[in-house]
Amino acid sequence: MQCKNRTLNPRLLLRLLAIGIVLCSGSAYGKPLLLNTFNTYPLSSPQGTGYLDLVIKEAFRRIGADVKIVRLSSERGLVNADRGIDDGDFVRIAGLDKTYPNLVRVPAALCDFEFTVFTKDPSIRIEGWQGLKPYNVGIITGWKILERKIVGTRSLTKVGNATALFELLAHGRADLVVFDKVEGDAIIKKLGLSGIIALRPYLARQDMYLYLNRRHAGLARRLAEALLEMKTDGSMRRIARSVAGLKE
Amino acid sequence: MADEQRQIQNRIGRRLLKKVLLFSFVVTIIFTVIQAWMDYSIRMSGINETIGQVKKVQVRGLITALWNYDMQELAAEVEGIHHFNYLNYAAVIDRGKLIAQAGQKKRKNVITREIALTRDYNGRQVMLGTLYLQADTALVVRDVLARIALIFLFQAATVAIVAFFLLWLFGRMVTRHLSIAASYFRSFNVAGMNAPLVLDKPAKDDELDTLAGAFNMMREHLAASYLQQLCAQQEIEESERRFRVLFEQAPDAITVYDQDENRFVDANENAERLFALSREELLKTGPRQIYPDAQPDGRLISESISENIKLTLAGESVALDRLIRCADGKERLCEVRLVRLPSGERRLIRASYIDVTERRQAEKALFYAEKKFRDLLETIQLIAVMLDCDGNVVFCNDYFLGLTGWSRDEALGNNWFDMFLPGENRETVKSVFKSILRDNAPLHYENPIVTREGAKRLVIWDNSVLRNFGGDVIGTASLGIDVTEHRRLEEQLRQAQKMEAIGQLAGGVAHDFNNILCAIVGYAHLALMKMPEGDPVRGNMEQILRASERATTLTRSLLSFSRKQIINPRPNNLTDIIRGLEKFLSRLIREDIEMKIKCGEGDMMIFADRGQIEQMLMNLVTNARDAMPGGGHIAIGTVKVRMDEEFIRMHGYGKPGAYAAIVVSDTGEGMDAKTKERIFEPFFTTREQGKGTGLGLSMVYGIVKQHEGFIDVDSEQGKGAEFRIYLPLVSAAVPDRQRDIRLPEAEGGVETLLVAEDDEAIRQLNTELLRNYGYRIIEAVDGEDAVAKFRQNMDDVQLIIMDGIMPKKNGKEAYEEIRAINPSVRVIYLSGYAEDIISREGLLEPGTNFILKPVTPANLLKKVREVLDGD
Repeated sequence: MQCKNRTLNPRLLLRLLAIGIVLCSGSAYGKPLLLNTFNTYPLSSPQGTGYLDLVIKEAFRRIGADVKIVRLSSERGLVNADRGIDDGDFVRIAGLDKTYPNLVRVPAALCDFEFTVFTKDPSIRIEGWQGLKPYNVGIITGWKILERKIVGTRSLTKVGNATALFELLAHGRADLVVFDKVEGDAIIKKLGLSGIIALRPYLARQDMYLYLNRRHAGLARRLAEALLEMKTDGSMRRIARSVAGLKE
Repeated sequence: MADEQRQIQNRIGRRLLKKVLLFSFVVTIIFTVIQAWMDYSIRMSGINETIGQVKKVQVRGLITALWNYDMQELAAEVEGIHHFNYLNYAAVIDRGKLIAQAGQKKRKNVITREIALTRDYNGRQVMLGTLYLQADTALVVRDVLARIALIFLFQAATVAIVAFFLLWLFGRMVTRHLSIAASYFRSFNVAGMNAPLVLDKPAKDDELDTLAGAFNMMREHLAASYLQQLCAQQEIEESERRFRVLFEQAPDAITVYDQDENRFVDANENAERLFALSREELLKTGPRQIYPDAQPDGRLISESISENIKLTLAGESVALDRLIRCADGKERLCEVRLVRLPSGERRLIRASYIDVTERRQAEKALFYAEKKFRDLLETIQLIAVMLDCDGNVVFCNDYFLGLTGWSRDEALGNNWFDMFLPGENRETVKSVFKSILRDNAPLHYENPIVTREGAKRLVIWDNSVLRNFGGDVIGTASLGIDVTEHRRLEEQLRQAQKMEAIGQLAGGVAHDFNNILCAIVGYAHLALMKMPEGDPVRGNMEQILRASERATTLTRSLLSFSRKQIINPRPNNLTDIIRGLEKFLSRLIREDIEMKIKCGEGDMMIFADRGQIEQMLMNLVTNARDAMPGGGHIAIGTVKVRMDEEFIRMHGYGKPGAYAAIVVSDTGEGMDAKTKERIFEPFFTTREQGKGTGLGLSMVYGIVKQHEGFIDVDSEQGKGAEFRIYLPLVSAAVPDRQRDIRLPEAEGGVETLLVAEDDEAIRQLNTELLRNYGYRIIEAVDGEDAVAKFRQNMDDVQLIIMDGIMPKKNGKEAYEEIRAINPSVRVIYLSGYAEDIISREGLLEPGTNFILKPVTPANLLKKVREVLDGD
């Protein structure tokens, strides 16, 4: 039996390379990607039934990947994603990739946040970020826009989660707290707090994004395309409708 | 006052207080230090426990705060940790970035610990940061020092209080009583020895009472001992006086030398006298000053003195002879004995000196005298032996040992009779020994002794008894002469003298008989010449002549024995002689006798008369044949032998030189010693009467002696006999001293001849014979007459025929006078004596004409004619 020298077909080589890249780009095709979030219901829930949970899962499904969502505090979520402990983090304002160089933003907004002041004192009127200075303010650790904007207040208390934030307000240890309007309303309702109101107008409105660790950068574009496709084909709207307590 | 002050300073209480305080202080310090060290260790381990506690309690909260990035909580937690004991600094660091801290970080005297802050997340440990803790050990030290200082202060105060209390108590209970006792001791003396020490104390039977009791007991013993010592001191003083007297009056001179002071520290009167120094002077000196450097033992005193002092101090008693130098410059020889004196730590040596100058001189003289005699005895060529009364050898000299072959060790102590006497003489000599011891006689005795090899030596002894100083006999002293050789030589001489005497006798008889025979033969010949043929008496005359020839042969044999036979020696090869005679000898023996001849290799040249040698061999073979009537073997052999001193010593005869030995042995009857002694004597025979002349071996003896040889015979009864003849070997070039003279035919003459002969018969025979042949004869009856007759007829006499031995003047003397008258006149000597006698008389000078009697007329005529016709 004779053995002959064969040269590999270039096309076959390219195919094998592509498969290798996909396999190395993440565990999308094997192990589910681990994404963390600090959001609360109705955006996210431990059961994975929140709006963002469902959108993200669908988007990943569309690109052929599986995803697992865990809950972490805001700052811990960023750090974990940045250090590669987790594969990604959501939802965040744009520009965090400057502070966390290992994060890659998926360039398609998942939703928007209205950063609103909640207080028990109906007499308080807030006009912009400067209007917070005379008050004892509470925020969630890791909300970068708030940490940057809110400075020079009488006091600033940072807590790890939304529940603690609103407990802080409810017990009078803060004059007001700044949080997302949608999630704030949901928390107040969930905790059965009364006398807390959301001041209008909101302090800022920001599009919110999904961030992936740099090693999954190859998925960002495809995910963005999948999200746009979901917007276009009405999938997002259908998901929003399916989540209780969430307006379209 | 100063003493008082010192006493106060030295009081026991003060010293006790000082020492208690010092000791307590040191103990306190030690325990405090130990306590400090333990405290420090506990606190240091407390730091570890604190850190463990932080780990156990605080880390969880830290991890939670850190996980949630709750910085306020984190800061609160860190602040809380910082407040733990000795933790001066706490911080949380994540990836090198300080997240939260509390306290002041230090660089020195700190213990640091880092605790990893991890959280289990999604199935794996996530590193959240590190808790960095710093504990300040300086704080630990500070706390420990503060605590220890306090403890030390309290303990020191306690010790001081207790010490002062003890001091007060000690003063009350002890020192007060000690002061009382001290006062008592100060005033204690021999006079107050009976007053006891009493202490006034409320408590009894304590140590002070025991001390006081013990002291009182000691006081009593001391009092008793004092009394005893007083007595002992008196005794010592008495003893000292006695020994001093003994020391001073000792017959020896005595000095006592102190090694440490290096001088004499004592000396007695005899020492003063001996050294001629006063005691004061003597005690300023030492041994090195009293001894001159050169000493009798050959060693310098400077070398030996230290050694002797060392030996003596080591306990040895040293005795030696020493020359001492007296102050007057004289040197005396002393016997010195050195002994170490027991004197505690002092190193004292007692030396006693006995002046032995005169004694040593006497001993020396005695020694040399004894040595002289001993050397004499040792070197004298006589046997010197001393025996004790039991006959054991107590002395023997070298000559004796050399003679017997025993060593001195073997000889001394052994019994003389058992070791040195032959068994057969032992008892006899023992009785002689007893007689000497008892009666001091016999003083001279002769007996044989036995050497180590068993040989016997004959010794003549000169004995004397030995006595001790008390006059008791303690043994014998004997000088002996070994006369073995002497006796043997005596025997040989005796034998030689005997043979010489016999020879002389035989020679004399033969001479006279020869003269008679000359006359008989001469007249018988004359008668026969004048008898007509057919005369009936002619037969008788011929019988007379034949008998005369036999008689002539007999006389020749006698002359051969007595060496008076004229021989004609010349160089001859002995081997040729024997080989030439072999056939003739074989005819002499019978058929039942076998004869073997074995000659040595090479020529054996001897200066000998061949006929005489042949005669000798024939006689020996005939003798051997007759000794073997039943047949047997005869062996003849020759060998070259060199006689040396050893040979001569062993055989008792000989003269150094090379010899041809002829050995003739037979297996015949042999002979006993008595026969052997006489076999060479003429007419001695063991054969039956008429069967032998007894002259055969006598001839052999004479021939051998005439050839300057030696003969020996070895024989035992029944064991045959062996004759050994030694003839001197010569070189072949030895010139002939004599040649055979061929006798010419008988021829007469007309010359005038002077015939001098004291024997009238021979004179007349010769006169008549010569006249018959035409000669004119003048007769002379002796030597003087011959000289006188020659003076009268000096012009006519042309030849003198002269008897060699004559009365008044012998032939030579007469001829000397005649020759003085006429030197050209010639002479023929006639003699019946052998050549040696003729030589002795001076007749046989070279060129001398000589005829041995009896001479036949023809021979005489031929000789006369030959001389007259000679040049």
